[in-house]
Amino acid sequence: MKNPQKAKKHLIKIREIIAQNPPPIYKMSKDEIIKKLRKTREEIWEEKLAVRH
Amino acid sequence: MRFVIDSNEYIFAFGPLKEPVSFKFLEKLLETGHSHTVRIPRTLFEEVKRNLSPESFREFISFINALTTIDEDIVVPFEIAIKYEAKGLKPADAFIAAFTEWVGAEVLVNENRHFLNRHTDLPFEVLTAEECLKLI
Repeated sequence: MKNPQKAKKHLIKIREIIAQNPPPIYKMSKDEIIKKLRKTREEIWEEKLAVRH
Repeated sequence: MRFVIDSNEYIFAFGPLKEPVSFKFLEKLLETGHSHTVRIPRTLFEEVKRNLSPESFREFISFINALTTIDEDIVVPFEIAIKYEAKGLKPADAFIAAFTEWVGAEVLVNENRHFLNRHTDLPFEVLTAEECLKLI
């Protein structure tokens, strides 16, 4: 791990930013978040395949 | 230990959830940082990026840069991903499994209880953040 102390500072900062202004995904339930991220993964993969062909 | 942390763990760790076990896992991982390695492929990084605001994403870049180096997807040998596709995984999931195997990670951390749960012959374990907390 490169710099865990620095990483922890950024982790805390991300949580502060998100607590103040949560992106839409944080209005979802745990299962909905998992489903949303699976959909994001499929979209990214389809885009990658489209670029290659 | 060497970990691959799935995008859902990062998203859960960053947000105000009732059960902050993903945050506790990352926090403990960082406290014991010099004993552990985290690897992340470009695809997982993109998944997190697309679900954060621009401001939180800028901080996520700094977080990842302090944690590890992003691996480009193209470095993973095609044959390993094909092996997982042959086991019935979707191509994107097969890639994540292949990446985890390729980097030699002992654990893929994931809150999705169904991910790879039908596959018992994997060269790595798929564990939740709560299970990982007991390991580190």
